[in-house]
Amino acid sequence: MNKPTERSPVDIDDYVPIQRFLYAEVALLDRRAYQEWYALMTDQIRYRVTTISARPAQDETSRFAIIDEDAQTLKMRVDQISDPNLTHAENPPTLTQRLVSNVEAYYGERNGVFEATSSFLLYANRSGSPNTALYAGERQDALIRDSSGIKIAERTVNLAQTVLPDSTLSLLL
Amino acid sequence: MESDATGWVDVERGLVSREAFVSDDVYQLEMDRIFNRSWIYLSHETEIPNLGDYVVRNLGNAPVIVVRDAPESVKVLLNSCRHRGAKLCRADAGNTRNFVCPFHGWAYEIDGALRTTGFDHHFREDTDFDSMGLVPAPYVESFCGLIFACWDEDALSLRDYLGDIAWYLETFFNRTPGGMEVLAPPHRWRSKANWKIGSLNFIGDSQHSPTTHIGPSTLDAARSIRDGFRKHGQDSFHVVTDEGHGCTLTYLAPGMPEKNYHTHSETLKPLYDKSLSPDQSSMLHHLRVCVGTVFPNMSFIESQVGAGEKALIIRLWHPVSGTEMEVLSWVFSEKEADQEYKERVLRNGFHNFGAAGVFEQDDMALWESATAASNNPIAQQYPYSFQTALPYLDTPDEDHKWPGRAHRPADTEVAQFWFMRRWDALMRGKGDE
Repeated sequence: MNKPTERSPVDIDDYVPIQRFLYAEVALLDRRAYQEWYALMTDQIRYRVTTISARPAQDETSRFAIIDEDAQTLKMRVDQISDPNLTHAENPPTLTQRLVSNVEAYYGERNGVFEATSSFLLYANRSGSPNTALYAGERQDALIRDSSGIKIAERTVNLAQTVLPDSTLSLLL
Repeated sequence: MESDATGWVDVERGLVSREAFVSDDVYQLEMDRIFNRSWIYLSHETEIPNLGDYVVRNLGNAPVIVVRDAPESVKVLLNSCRHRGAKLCRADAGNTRNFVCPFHGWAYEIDGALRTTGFDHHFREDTDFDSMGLVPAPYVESFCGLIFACWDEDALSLRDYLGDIAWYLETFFNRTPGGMEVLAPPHRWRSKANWKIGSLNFIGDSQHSPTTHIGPSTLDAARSIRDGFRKHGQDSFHVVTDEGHGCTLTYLAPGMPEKNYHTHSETLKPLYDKSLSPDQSSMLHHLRVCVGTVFPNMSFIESQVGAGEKALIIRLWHPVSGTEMEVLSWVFSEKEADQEYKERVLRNGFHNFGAAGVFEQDDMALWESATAASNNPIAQQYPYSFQTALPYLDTPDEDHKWPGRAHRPADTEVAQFWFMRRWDALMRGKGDE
């Protein structure tokens, strides 16, 4: 990604479709329409989720991936939780509500390419249990718009967490 | 809980009390009888390569700092100021020249010795400042770069504690002249499951694979994992040791495509032959999966799924209570490997096993359900079954030439039951028997 100072924010005519896209995309995840969600990725998708280890404040932050998928491995992940016969973690499904806000969007290096950042909060409740987990962080997306609409070419999700709270992460962010 | 407890393991019937898998009283006794007396894995040497590097871990339920205090020395220090108890290190990792308590300013050298309280002149003249350093673990040793420590003054040496599992650990962690290195900081997550389920799963729970992992085994393009699960019993075996360690060695079933399973880099293979004995080397070249546990709570796996490279992983099942653990997971590769290979090993490793692993997510969901469903007096009238161990317990493979006792086939509960028997003996204070 470019340095923030070099980026120019998108006009409102571009901002609104991007914001709508991000809301529609996250609604697909909450509806567990995982294959429809996957169809919003480009063939070159790189999908990463990172956490951080707690370091002294004067040190550089140290982020590292807990998920780092290309199109093929992301598809396996999506297929697994999409099919009730192939998942225990998501059968019965985790009840979720994702909140996405603080959407900022910038023009990318060429026409039709955008960089969007958004904040998210994921509330997750494993059914049959009163326990809930919260996941929070920032999403950095590279979006591409063509005649068929907007797609995600790259997503990096930076969790604001060092220790994941509720077992392993089977959900998409 | 009394030391003359009759035990949680019914050796005759192959049963284990559910109480052992949920009770906080059992957890407290485990800390006293097992975790504060055993060698516990803490860190790999490559996590703290430079003078002053440290990571923060737990030795039993005591928070400790694992610090490189000299080029060839590692100290394990209680992460609690001798004055009023505050943590010296509140980060997970870092580098320091000394430890200064942020509460009142007591300062320690990186080997733990007290340098100054800041108020030395207010102490009585006969104060023995030399005895007021950070509390050190009396024993810290490293084997193949794996750093273990032990609180027990009367402990065996680490090498004696590891016993016959050492030969297998060498095969994975000392297989090139440069040794292995940690590729990234550990994934960490909490799971509301008893820690022993993890240790048992890795020491030899072949029976869970086809059902728990139906997702990844079905989705694998070649369906080859599934075939592997079905057929591997005949070609594979458990290894168990007197100390409660063990592993399960899974070989390729006939007809399975070798190239999909023997993914070690060609440039590394000659190095394996150089560093390992011929038997170790042959084992490594022919294995499909090795998964094992060093008693009590360190596990390791080298496995491969789909088209990716095999990844070597260490797993720590840190008990938080009778019903919760924190899991730490590291991916390793050979120091000599090129960067691109290391990155592929890392990605493939945590795709399968890690904080969001496609295998692990289904394990955790089911382990948590077992812990939740067992945490009540009605369920506890009905012990867990390890009965498929019984017909095989007394018949180790007499042709096994390598260390430890081998038991065939690998899809029984023999290794798990030996682990529980060792656990039971230590919990009853009968570890020397």
